[in-house]
Amino acid sequence: MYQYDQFDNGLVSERVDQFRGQVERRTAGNVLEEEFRPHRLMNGLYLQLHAYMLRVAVPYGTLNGGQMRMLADCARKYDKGYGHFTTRQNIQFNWPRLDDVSELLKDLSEVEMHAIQTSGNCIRNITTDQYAGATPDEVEDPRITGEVLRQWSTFHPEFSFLPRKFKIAITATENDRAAMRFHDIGIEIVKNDAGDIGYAVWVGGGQGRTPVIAKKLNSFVPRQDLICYLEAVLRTYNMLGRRDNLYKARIKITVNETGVEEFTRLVDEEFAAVKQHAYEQFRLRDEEFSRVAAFFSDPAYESLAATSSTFEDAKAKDTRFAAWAATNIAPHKVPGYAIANISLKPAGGIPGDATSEQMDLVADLADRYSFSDIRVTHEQNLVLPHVKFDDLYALWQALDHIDLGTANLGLVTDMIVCPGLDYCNLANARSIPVGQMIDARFADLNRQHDIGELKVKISGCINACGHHHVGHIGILGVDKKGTEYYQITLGGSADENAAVGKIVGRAFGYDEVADAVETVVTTYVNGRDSKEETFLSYVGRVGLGPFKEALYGSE
Amino acid sequence: MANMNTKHAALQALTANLLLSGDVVYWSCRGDWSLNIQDALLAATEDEVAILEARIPVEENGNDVVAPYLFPVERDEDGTIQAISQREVIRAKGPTIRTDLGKQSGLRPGPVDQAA
Ligand code: SF4
Repeated sequence: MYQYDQFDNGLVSERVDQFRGQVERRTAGNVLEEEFRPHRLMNGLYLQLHAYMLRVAVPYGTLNGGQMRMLADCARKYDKGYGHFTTRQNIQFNWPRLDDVSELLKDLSEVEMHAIQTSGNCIRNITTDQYAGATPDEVEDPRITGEVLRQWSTFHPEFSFLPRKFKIAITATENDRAAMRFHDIGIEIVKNDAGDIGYAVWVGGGQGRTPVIAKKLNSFVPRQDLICYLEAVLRTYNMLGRRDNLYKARIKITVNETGVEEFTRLVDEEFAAVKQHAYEQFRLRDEEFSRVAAFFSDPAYESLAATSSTFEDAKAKDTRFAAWAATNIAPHKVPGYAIANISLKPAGGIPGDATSEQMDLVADLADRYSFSDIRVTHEQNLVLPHVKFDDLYALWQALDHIDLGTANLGLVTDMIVCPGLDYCNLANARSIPVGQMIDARFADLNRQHDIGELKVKISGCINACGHHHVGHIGILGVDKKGTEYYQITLGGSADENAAVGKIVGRAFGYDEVADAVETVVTTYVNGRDSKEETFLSYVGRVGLGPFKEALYGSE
Repeated sequence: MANMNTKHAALQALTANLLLSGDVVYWSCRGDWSLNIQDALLAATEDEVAILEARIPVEENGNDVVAPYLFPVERDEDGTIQAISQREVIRAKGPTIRTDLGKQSGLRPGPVDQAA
């Protein structure tokens, strides 16, 4: 993985010192909250309902064992013994004291972590495929481009005060695991007919109040031109983006109001200008790309047989392990290895939460079984990307021991759930207990496996941090005169078949949501052609009709 | 200020978060911040609300609390002060899914100690 050079180290520790000074001035009464707030936010420190919340960046969702151990330690030392992994592959601490945050940030800086650009109208943490570098079907490891862009976007002076926050995701496979089409910029690493690697650039996707699928602005930007092209997109947005209306400030609205063709023309014009005037500054040189790529070279894999009798025997004798192996492992590019997914959705748990003890154990297991490599997924799970088939049973047993061995990846209880009204200052309704009610309803793991792939996503307000728009079943909490209600959408999808879910009908009360979801699932199970027809295919085939009928009857 | 024993939806209280700890606090009858909503000074009349409201800019210019604002409360038959909105109920207690956290896990009564 990438290792900080002197420049990175200096930048981060300088920032810690600056923040320490800002906090001291604030607590001494030398600056007002109004003046301090932007500095607090620029360092990822929000004020939520009960306390401050610190959002720590996990660049392109990659952590090593030491970093995970430090996160566990920070949770213990400065928080309440747990952290919350988010849909942007970050981690949030829910209870730090303001006067502890500088020390916390200092501790993080020792393992090359920080909270810079996790808030504010700037380019946020760049996300990517959690299987990067391990999956057999990628064009190349997208984290290399992620790191190049991290360096480009960190403290980029021109893009520190954009009209609104700006999110970039990168994929390098046809199978999109990074919800790339729902980002301000989605970058798809592709190979052209000549065999050259370049980038398809998608612009203007997003969720929130106005869900939009990104448009492909350019099918092939050569590697050396990537930064020039992104400069052009960001400059065009910076010039045209609405600063007069918070709800119209995201690039998706700019693209829509300008028109895709005109926006593309303006970007191309700017692209030509950047290339003409600043090509030397922004050209991505092969040597630089190779320098960064070296940090992401393959670990020292062993030469192994493609099959493992240890693994097969364990599956035969332990049905719980067999169930886990059926859902939670994915193919690896190297024979004898697998990608192991760790569900952070145990029965009755809080999606995305992990205790310090769990984080410590994941760190130890990563050191032992996965070259100290850990990934955070946008679906709020963790991944050990390089585990030998021979080791999977031992890994799962250790995970199972601390409630991390749940065999539910991609199933109905593997929900994305935002913090909602239990923590979030912007929420309209609670998300987590709604998720827990659904979780309890589908507690029978055999039933979950029988239902098959089904993505439920819950947001506590229209900001859509819980990705409800792209849930196969999406649930949005709304406030009706002080009472929590929940609107259900069906048929959304965040992958390469990107789709925004459609509202099925009137909203349900807090106590009715689990029943409604059960009705939706039963309608599907009773109506599907066979188990091969997934929930999403079924919705695509029959539309909302049967669901409306089952949920509302003749209402 | 009002100290009413009947249910009254129009009562207002002043809340904020402590600058250092971030804890939820209420402006109290003692004229300081309290961690306990039961200590909250309640404003019933327009004049009382105006007085409480006048506290906001004072606090915004100080360094004890962050983000002060008024919110509606009511009193139960037994005099217990209840927040009306779900948001304020949760702020007054803690996360509904982690009853071991927040105020509900053990309320420290009385005035706050910023260093605690
Ligand atoms: S979707 Fe709304 S409630 Fe949920 S975390 Fe985002 S802002 Fe908060």
